[in-house]
Amino acid sequence: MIKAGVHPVKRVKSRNLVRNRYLYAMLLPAVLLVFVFWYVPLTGWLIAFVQYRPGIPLLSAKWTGLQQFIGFFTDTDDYVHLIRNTLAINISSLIANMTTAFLFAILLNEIRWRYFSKLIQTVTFFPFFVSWIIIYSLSSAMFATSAGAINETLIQWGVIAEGVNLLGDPRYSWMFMIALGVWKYAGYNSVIFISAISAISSEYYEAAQIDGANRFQRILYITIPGLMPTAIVLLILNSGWILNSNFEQFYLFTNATNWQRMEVLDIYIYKYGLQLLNYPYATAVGIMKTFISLIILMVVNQISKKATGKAIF
Amino acid sequence: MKASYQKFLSSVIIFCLLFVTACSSNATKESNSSESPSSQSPSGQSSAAAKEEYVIKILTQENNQIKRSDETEIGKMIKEKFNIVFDYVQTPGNYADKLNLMLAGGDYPEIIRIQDNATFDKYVQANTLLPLDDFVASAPEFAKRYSVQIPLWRLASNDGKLYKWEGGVPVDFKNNVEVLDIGVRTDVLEQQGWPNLLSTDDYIKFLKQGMKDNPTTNGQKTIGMIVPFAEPWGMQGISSIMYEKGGRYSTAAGNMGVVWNQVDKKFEDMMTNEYVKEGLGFFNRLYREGILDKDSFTDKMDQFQEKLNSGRALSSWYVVWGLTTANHGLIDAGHPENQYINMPVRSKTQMERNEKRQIRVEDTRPYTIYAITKNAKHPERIKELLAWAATEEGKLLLQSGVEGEDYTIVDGKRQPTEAYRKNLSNVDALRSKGYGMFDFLGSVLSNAPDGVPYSMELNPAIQDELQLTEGMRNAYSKLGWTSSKDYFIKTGESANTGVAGTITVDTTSDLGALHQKIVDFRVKNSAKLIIEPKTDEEFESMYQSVIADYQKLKPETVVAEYNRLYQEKQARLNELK
Repeated sequence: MIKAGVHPVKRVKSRNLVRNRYLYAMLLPAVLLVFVFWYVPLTGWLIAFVQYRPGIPLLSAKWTGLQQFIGFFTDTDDYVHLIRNTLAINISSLIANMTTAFLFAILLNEIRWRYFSKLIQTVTFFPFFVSWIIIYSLSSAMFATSAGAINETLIQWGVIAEGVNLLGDPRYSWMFMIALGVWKYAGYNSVIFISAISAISSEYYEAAQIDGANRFQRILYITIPGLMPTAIVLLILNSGWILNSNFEQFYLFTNATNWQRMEVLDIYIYKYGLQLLNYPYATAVGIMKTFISLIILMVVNQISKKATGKAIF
Repeated sequence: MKASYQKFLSSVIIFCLLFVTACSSNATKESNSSESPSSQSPSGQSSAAAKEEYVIKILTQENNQIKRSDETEIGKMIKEKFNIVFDYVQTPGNYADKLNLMLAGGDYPEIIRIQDNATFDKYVQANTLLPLDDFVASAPEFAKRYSVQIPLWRLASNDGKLYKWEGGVPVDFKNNVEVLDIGVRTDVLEQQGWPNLLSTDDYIKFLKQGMKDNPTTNGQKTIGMIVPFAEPWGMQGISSIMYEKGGRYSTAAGNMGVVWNQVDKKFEDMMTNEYVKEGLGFFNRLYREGILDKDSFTDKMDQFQEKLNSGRALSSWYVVWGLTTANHGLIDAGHPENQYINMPVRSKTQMERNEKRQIRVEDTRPYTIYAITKNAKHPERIKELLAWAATEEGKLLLQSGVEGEDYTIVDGKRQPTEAYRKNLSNVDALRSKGYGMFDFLGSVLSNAPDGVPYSMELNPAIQDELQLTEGMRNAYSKLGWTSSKDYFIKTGESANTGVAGTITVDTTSDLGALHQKIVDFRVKNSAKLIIEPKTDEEFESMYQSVIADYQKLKPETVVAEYNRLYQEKQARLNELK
């Protein structure tokens, strides 16, 4: 018999809440953290709509509406190279990072000598912990045109007559940034794929071996299909960050000669927001970036759902 | 098992609680200790409580080993007298960015150093600095010391109040002939018969020959010219600096969107300035000839310094203030022949016009602005120290050291001792003494009542003897110069910056934003103009195209605003007089 006035679904929910109270309590700090550090700061978006500057209360600043948003597209044509650079570098980086991690995990899995496998994994994991400032110093020492170790050696050996300007020549900028990202993140990203491989049942491999499948065929028909769900989830999750560049990397490697291929949205926001203290403009660009990222995430999710039947929501 | 796990967990929690409590009680104690002395008399006389040790953090970019001021001799005396200690915090990287970040976060130090008028304006507009007007009224020696500067400093703020003091002013022209042109290697000068290089053509011919004669230096490939363009002030400041080498213009306006015409007393646009164009053309030719180091655009001071110290660079553009230090390093490394000296340069038009060079004498020095911020715990104690630093006792101690140890009095004038002279070539020894560690209290480049500069090494009579190596002095002698400044004094004249050095467009206004845009445009296109053209004709064509785009930004509105502000402030200054 159902008590009058209490809906059965609600009663089940509240019972569920009571029964799992410890689990919810454990979840609470994480929810609070996300709320405080991700949602509360969104109130700062108000800055984009008012004439704010440090030292004056936000609420007393003059209302300017969409002026900053319109200005981004009409005052200069900066948005053309900014969006081009951001998308080109980040999409290429995403593809390169995922592909190398994917292949690296497969190859690592095929090494039968475990100690060697672990050694390789540790060595490739190490660059993840090297800061970008150190990477910049190393790059300068290695690749500088006139004083870099590699260029000097190649010139001494007569391989090239003049040093290759990787750090300053805009023709190499995108490729160089992508390559550095691959070097830094390949080991770290491969860990996810390695764990996904370990989750594939060994029974598949044993059955394939009995059926006469060689190593390459086992990779092709078992390992790769087994990794695809992980790869798709990673692709969808990372697509939400496609407009987010690694700030330190671009801050350090952008210079007067390569800026037209290196200036990305995050650096632009930093420049206007913190260097020129034009907070409203920087916030407006940041808001646009967030919405575009959200749209990209939804689109990739839908494409994945239709193409592979796999999606995160 | 479960019980032992619970015990372990409880122990961890208790430890964490104790740790947090211990940290907070320390913080509370520190906070209390810094709060207590705040009860001071309005006159600025500190109470007994105020004499508790007061530690003030000072941001520094000097790479020194001194962590606290009381590690130095002068610092100990300051501590004894005021019980104030300065804690030096290393702040490597882009200092201008740090200032902006600190302003955004409200996390600025008690005494702040600002390096340009625009950032100072941002801090004033954000209401972060303490006015010093009352302090000046109660500190007659400070007011006297900066009698020329104070009205100008007031003009720099939008509300007419005094918020700052500066280091490096007042200046006596003879003590500080500020000429930063080209560092040239002396062995190459010798190889080519000690030519008196001057025009850009002279340099190109000289450096080309130098590279041919010296394909390698000390086992490394020789580089023609090095420049740290990757520094924030690199491309923005020194790629265009040719304008100061001839007549008419001085660097009073800084290196942003405008240049100051010292002769006609007006601001002009920098990007379209004829000398700036010639300077970029000079760099383009150096680049085409393979003389300009291709790493220049990615080199910061560290890389620049490394190349200079190795002796492999035949020349260095503008950054010549560290030549003596580099030369000492070269001598120690067994390559005394590779030492550098500063030599003058002029563009073709500057050569033709042969006008007197306008050598900047700073009435104000926006590069070393200091202010007390609202984060200061005991501003009255800082002011008390500042007032003392402006007295004769303070000035002599901070800049000349201790009588008997660092100088003796001969015929009523200070004479540096042998120990003082010896210390000048040893940066660590200078810092251990405390020289240069208290510049934020104001250091002057003028003379004391005895006629000798407060910093004795600036004495023109012995400046070269104290500041240059023997090799450098010999090189100047071979060139036929009587001193390292000989040529510049003969061909230049002092150009006081006056009001021009205080002008800045309101950074939060539309014109302020436009000003930033035109600077950004110039910086981005300067590199293009240096690298891309393959001939003089191509340079001219590209320059015209860049200027056509530049004019669309309407830079003349910014120039007009600068001139309007100049007229307005000059009128205000006249009223104050």
